[in-house]
Amino acid sequence: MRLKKGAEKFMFSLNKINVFSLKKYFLEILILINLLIQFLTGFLMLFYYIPSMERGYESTIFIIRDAPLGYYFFHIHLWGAIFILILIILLIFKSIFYKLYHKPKEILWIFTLILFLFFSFQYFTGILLPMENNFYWQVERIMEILKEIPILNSIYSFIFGNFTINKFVHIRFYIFHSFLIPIFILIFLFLIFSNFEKEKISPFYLNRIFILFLVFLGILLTLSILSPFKISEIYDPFKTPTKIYLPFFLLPIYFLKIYLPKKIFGFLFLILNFLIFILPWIDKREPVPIYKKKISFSVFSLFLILIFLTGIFGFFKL
Amino acid sequence: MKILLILIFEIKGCMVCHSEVREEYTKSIHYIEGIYCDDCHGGNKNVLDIKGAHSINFIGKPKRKDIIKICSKCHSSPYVMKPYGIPFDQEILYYTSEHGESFKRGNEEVAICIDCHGIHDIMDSKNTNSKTNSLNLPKTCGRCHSNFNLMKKYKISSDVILEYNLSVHSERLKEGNLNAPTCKDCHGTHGATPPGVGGIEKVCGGCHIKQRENFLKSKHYEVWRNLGYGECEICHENHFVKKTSHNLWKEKCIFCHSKDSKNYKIAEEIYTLFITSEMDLLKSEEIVNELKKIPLPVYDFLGRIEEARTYILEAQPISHSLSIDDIKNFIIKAKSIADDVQREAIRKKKLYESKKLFLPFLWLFILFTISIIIYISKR
Repeated sequence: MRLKKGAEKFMFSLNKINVFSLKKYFLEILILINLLIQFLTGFLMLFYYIPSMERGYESTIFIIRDAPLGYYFFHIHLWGAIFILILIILLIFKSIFYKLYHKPKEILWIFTLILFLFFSFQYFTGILLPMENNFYWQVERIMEILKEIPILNSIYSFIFGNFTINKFVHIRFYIFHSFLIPIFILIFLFLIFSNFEKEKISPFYLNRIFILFLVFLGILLTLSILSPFKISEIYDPFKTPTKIYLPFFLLPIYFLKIYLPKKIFGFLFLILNFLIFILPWIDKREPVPIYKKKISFSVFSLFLILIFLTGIFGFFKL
Repeated sequence: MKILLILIFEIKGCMVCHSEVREEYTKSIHYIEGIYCDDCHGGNKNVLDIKGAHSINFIGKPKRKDIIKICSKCHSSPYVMKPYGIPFDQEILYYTSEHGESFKRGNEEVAICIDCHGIHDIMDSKNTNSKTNSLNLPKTCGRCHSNFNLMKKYKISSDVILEYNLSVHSERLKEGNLNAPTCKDCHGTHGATPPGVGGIEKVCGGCHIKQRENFLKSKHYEVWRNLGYGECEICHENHFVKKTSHNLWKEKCIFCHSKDSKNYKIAEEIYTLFITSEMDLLKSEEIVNELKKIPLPVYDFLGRIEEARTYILEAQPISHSLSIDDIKNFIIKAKSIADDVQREAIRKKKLYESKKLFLPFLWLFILFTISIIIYISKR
């Protein structure tokens, strides 16, 4: 009796907990769910992965081919990575659109941007780990872009030595991808969510979250079955594939890198980034959503179209 | 000038004047082992004026007929040669060879020691720069044996080296396999004689043991021997030994057997046996490679394909006996393995593709759980 009562009390307390509104923070909650999936699949793949240049490929193939459910873990992890980047970019656009960076929330804006940096860095370090030829060359190409950005390149070479891939860089990538950055991400998430305003809502809140989780997992599973990632041969520094792909969020940057002179590109990139970071201090107008003001709405949509077009041109220039 | 050479370069004796020989000679094994000019040419190496140096037992440039005697002074003496581990029967062997016999008859044109080993730059045959090293031997023999005008006198073909260079043996040699046969492995070195009729299968059989064993069982062996034909070289050529393929059954048999004859049909049957088994193996390999790209586990398939391939390889020497039953024994094993692998690989691929069938169930399950959750929460 007492046990049953205790359980009821526990369930009640869970459902009555102060939580974030699902409608208001839909993207944030999706990111959290996605991160949970990423943490789980990544953690399970850690058991099989061997962090070495020579045996990394072998162990990745082992994960996909022989490990129980390894196929699903691998492909869900990769698809989830792409989804999480899409979601965080949408979150950034959302906070520009609704001007969520206004006065008391400047720090949130900066945390979101840092989170985006972490996620893209996770992508960059993660795709080297399978030591597969196409991914390997993708990393090389991202390094080419990194090389030309003034301050970032010195930070990079301070952490990783230089712009070549060798066994030391590989092991550092591995440590960053699977230990350091996940811990940083957790810390930043805690900082972000402790700043959110909590609201009292439906007592069946957790059930809805669970439904969202199920649907999201279903989408990832479907994608991993219908369009799995192609794993070609082991990396070969002397064998460049005919086409080297880049992640979608780097395509506009790649376009700029091709058409602008080297030094201008680097400075422009830095200045743009800096401007985005200090946006809350530049824009001190009233926090009214953009669609209510004609000029800023048209500028915003033009900006979006420009990014989209440069991305498409960048893709065809690959 | 002479004193300068002696003091600075430590050049002594004959080398002081005969500087044109110095460079060649210092490379040679004789120089390394301390054999000096006077051991072959006579004279006194310790004197620096021309008269004194060219005095005691001085030979100068030896005549061609004397060269064998000069070399054999050391090279036929067991007391000198034993410490080096070099055989000392070269002179005797040389006189049994075609070259030696002709030389005995007074023909000074034939090859003697210096023609193959060089004059002053004689090196150890293990040295890859040596004229007698396996890698350079075809070139060395070819100096005379691809000379058309010289060979015409003796009624010998001058194409042998050209043919050898196109052969599979030469291909292996160029790849760096020093075990690949060169001229010396079939013809011998000092006792160089061409293997006659009835001898060639022993020469080839030295390396191709299984092929020879099976050839001795065949009908060809006795028939060809009675007719005075050759053996291996009838189908495989003597110098121009090509890499064998199954097409040989169609190309070569037709020279002797007419198309309607019973014997030609045996050849055709053997040909189809080999070709069909190879095709089966290739097909199964293709499917396994597809699986490998997905990637799916294919270790056991790869092992079994290798096993089937060895069965086909084993059947090839046995085909020299021309008995279809013996060949079939191996080919059937290879074929059944290839068929099994093909069937299982296709089944595995279908099983992999059936993953898509799992999707509707997944979504049904998700919808079901969602509806249950909603039902519970609304109650």
